[in-house]
Amino acid sequence: MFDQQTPEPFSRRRFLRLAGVGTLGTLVLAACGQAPPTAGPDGAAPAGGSPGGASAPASVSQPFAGRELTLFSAQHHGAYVRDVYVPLFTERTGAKVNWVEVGGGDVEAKYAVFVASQDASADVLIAWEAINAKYGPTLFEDITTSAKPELIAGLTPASKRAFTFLDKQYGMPIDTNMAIFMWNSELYETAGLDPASPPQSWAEFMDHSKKLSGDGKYATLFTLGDANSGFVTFISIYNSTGGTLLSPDLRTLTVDDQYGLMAMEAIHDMFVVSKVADPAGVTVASSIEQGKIFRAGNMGHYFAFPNHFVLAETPDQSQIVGKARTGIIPGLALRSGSVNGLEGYAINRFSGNKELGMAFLEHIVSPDVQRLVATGWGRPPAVQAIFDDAEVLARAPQFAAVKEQTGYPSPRYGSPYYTDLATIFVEQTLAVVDGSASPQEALTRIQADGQNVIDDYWAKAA
Amino acid sequence: MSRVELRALSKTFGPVHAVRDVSLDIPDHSFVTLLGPSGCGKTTTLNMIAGLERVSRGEILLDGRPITGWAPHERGMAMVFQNYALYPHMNVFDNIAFALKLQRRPRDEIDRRVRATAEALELGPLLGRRIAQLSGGQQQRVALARAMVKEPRVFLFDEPLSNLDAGLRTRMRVEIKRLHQQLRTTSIFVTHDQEEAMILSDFVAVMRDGIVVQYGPAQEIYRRPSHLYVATFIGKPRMGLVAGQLRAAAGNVELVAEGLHLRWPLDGPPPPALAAGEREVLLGVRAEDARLGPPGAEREGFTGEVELLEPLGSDTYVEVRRGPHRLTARVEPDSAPRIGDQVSIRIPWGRVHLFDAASERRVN
Amino acid sequence: MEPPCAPHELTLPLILVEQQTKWRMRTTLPEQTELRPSLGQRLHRMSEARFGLLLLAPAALILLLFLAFPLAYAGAMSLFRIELTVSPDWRWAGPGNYLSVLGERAVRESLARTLAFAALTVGTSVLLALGVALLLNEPFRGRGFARVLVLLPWAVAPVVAGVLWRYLFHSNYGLVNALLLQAGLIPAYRVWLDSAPVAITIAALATAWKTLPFLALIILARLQSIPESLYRAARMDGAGVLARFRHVTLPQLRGILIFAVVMQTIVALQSFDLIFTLTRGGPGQGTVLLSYLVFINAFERLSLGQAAALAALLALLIVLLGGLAPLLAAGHRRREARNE
Repeated sequence: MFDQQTPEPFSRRRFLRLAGVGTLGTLVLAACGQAPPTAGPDGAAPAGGSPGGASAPASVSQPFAGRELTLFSAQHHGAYVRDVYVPLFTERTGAKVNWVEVGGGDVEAKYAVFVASQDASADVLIAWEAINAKYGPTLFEDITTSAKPELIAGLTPASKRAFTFLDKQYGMPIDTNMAIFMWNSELYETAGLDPASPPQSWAEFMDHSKKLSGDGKYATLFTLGDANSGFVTFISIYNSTGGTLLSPDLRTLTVDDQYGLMAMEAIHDMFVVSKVADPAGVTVASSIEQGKIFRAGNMGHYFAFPNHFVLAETPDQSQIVGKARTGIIPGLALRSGSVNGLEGYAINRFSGNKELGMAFLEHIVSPDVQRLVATGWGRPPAVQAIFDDAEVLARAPQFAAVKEQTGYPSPRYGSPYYTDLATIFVEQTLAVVDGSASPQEALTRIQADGQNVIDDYWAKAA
Repeated sequence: MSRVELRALSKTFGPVHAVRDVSLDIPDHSFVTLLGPSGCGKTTTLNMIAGLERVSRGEILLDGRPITGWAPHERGMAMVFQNYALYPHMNVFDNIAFALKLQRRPRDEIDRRVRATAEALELGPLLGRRIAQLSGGQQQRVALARAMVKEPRVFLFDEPLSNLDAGLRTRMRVEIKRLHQQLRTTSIFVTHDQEEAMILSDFVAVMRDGIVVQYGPAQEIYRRPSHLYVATFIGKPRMGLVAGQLRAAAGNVELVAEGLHLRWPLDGPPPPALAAGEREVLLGVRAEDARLGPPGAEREGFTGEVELLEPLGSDTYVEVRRGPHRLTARVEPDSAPRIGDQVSIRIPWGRVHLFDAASERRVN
Repeated sequence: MEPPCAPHELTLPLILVEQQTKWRMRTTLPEQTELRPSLGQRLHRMSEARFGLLLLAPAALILLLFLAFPLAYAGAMSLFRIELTVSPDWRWAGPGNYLSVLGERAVRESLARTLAFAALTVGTSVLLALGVALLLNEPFRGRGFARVLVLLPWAVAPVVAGVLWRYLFHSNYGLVNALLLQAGLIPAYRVWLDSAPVAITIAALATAWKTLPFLALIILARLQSIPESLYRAARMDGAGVLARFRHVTLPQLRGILIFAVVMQTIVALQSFDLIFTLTRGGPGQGTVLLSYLVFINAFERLSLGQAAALAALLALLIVLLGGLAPLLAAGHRRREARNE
């Protein structure tokens, strides 16, 4: 979710080219104003192509002509959602869309105001796992039964799970974003490593890392810059231990065990013992900065969101074009594990326009939008069929890794008390990193303080 | 106690010559005034003497020793400022004691000297007061005390009375005069008020545009102004002037001006001013020297119409106009004419001041 | 006959109504004539006090609307348990929020941090501003330009300042690292914002830098109003540069310095935006000041009641500390007076 960067402005024109409509199609579109944009890989025939590719012609009917929808989103969705998917929505439904956006970090604060004032000024709201858990019950419409069952059934398991909180579906994912492993093949080669084979285990990862570190350079960077980014670091490592952090009812924290210790000791090893993790990670709060360091050629490997691959292949964003490789994250006890960063949209429960809101939710998981999410934005699609599409995979080679990665745990443990819990985690992780606490001491405190936070919440909720 | 000599003192601020080649010899015990309008360089000169302003050229000597580059406090001088410049956060005692404290004098000595000075200036009961609680006159006395307590070799006064109202000014003037007579400390006083200068000073230096126009005993400055500028700057009312051609003819001296022909019989040879024949002059006469009489014959006096009366109580000044010329005469209030009366003014030859029309220098 | 008009506080609309009714009473004497006074006449006959209140009314209304109402609302919120992660309902809590806020470890730690930050900010900014003001008061070539230049940080938005300083001290691209490395003062680039004390110090410096122009400006304005003759008098009295500063400049600046300390204390205690962009409260909770904690409580934890309670306590702290400086100064003056 915290990838608020765009590789390049995604113009309407580029979309059309990408969608394979071609010059003639463009002219037709311009002439009638509402020609059906058909999706598909470059040059592919629109009809009879990939499964779920072409959509029905929208010119047949515009069911919401004259209606208005207000969409509250974040800046990093501007170049794709606002500039491409929304115009497409308008063409299909006839509904006018008002776009309101804030910085990704300000979304939560804005939602606090929405809840407090039961604000109905926006109909559809951007969402992600942590927000779902926090605002699901008070701000988002429960669509468990109202959404078309086949749409929900068609989602990738990971994306479906992230938008479910306590067995209720609170929104529709737009992607199956999750961290994968990315390495710089040139740096691997320089370090005497096989540029084609990533580490298969945590031990190998540490071994590679040691060879990639030195001379003021660090093999990798993990973010500990704020509560959320620090928690993401911990959980992305923890998820490959096979442990379960929170009980399904979200009432019990179990971190002070062999799994927690394994994860915390791995962090301790990277930062303190082997010194392969960049200490600057303590000040880095977003994966954007992480990606910049990688693309400057200063970092051997890291846990990256898939669209970082697109950025790494974009010449004006990257100094390592052609050198980035993707695989799955090497795991501690399991072969792998990751953390999801997927995003989507939910309906404001105070909205008086829920029907149109639902139409937008259906729109973002429609096959052609999902295809654009994959090929244009570089995010793994939320719909399993597109995810499995061979043509999409050919255009976005990093999805092979994502696909494999989805076979391993990647929960983010979103919860209503997410921020407080994350704060405790990062505070103690930092204590381990600066040497003021041993991994075991840190875990003991996280367990105690964290369980307190959880108990407090349920006491309040009661 | 101390003699101050200025030798060709100059001060330039960039292209501006504030003071040009000022040379003064200020004798021991004397009270000297630098007199002139604002901007004439008198304060700059004083500041250079004090050491507050750097000297551009020239030299300052104190009892024969050059002190040009010395710091202000090394010169043993004390200064009283126009706006008093009292330290507002200190009380009266601390203001007076400040210099002594900086000199690290013993406590009891400071106490004794401050109290003695305060006593002399009748400030005793005010020693604990804050400056803001004092009247203008009291503040002025504190400023004096602050200067006196240092027992300086030279007192410098920078228009110290100009912030006071007229009544207070007169009283402070007397007080300063009395102090000087008691202490006999060499004093240099800057003012633009010619009356103040006349009353206080032994010597007056009249300044204009950074230059000393005339320097001499106060009476001489009044009686024999060496320059038209001094003549008109000093004296109240302003000296009456008639511009014309002066010549000697048949045992007489004649002044021929527009519509006017004045004549004085000559006893001896023609005055030296007329050695070269006739010349364009300005003839000046002070009101107290002009004699008012009934309208007389042409050529014997300045006959004209009374235009203005200025009764001062003790005297009345009568301004008489004839054509473009105006002269003023002083009379007893009882014998004052009325406005519009025809009168004549007789000008005694021995009392006239003659200035060359071109150079404005005195020629008699 | 008419009761004296008591100076009512903020009941302006009432006064106006009252005023009108009185007018009617006075003018009903010739009942047959419906002579209504014009607005101008009415304004003209109004007493000074009432006319003054009338003029104040618009400003008072605006204050009421944008200050008094939110204040009262926040005060009310602090007495309720409002947990938006649970429900948007308000449940009565009485002093509960205050007690729980005061009992929180995070609050106590943040308080200590905030006080340290404030002390550092106030000390640095006031001393630097004094230095800058003294410098700008001296005649030198280009002084006018320098006076304008020094205003620049003031013109920079706090958020921009935060980003600016973040990049200055950036571990990989930071100017500070580059300069120190080139000067040979550090062996390699280092991470500056990874330790809480360093991060707090940098945040304090950035805040001081940001507010320095304002303080320097007001100090400079005061400096320029010190009569030159005081310095001349002091020089005649034998005061050197330091003695003149101590005995002339400093006493004259006393009031403005106290004002600067109060202002800066308030600024420091309220600091939020700059720190939000500079460190995001990190490392860990290392730069989470009280105001930031209010933000976390309100917009991250969604505990609006607790946030309001904490905000109220912070406001109280600001009032106390802001009032402390003048009180201390007054005490100092009294002591001085006794010593004489």
